[in-house]
Amino acid sequence: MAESKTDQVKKKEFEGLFLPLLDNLYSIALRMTRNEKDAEDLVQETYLKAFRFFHRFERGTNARAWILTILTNTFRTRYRKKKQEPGMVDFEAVENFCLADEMVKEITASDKSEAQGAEVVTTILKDYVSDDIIEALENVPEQFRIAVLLSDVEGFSYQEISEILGISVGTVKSRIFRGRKILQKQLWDFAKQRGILKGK
Amino acid sequence: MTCEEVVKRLYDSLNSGVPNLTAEIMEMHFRLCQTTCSHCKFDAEVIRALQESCFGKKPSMNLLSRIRGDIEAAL
Repeated sequence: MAESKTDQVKKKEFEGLFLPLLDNLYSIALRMTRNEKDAEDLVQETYLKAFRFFHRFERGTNARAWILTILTNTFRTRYRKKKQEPGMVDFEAVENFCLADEMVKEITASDKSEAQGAEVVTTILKDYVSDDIIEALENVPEQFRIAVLLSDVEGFSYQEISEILGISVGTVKSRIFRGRKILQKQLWDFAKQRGILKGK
Repeated sequence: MTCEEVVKRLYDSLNSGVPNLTAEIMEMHFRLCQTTCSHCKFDAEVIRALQESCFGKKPSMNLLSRIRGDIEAAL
């Protein structure tokens, strides 16, 4: 069937607004699904839904937040059950966990002052490889992982995350706080397993 | 403001800003407290490392054409 001029205008506007976000959406989808094939399928499905509901998009509002809401909802309904999520987290154990403090304690247990330990700790993250950090993030349970991703990687405000995820700002703050703590605990476990602190 | 409160408010300040007075109190705390200062630097480093690790992953070449195909079919 021949496309009407209106269809062409709609398509052009949609592509102009959303296709430049493709790499960014894929990167977020990959951290959500933890699997390249599922991430691509998720992004493809998100674009199709976004195009179908494009008439609901309010011009002048945040296009990235709008399409991310669709991505997140699609992930929740279709992909979350496919790969086994990390097990339950003991929140009491991580609530007061502080990676910086643990590292300083470990380093100053040898012969360094607290100030020297703190100085070493600020540079220690360079000893982690990118895959360690990705693995640590993937071990954070989904609801906390997504909150940390949207906040710390994508730079959305609490209010925007609240709208994307459909939860209160208070819940967003709590999920980000806990997510960061769980991530830090994972990084600490890697540091111990791989001897990153040895000789510091 | 205690060290712990400063660290918590640091995230708020990075995320959506804090009132000027709070920002000034935090600044003063950083100048006087080496521990909190390194603590905050470290937390900022964790976030930076996370950002670096997450960026730069690209989808396969055919994803774009799959999406364009879906859009064409939906017209």
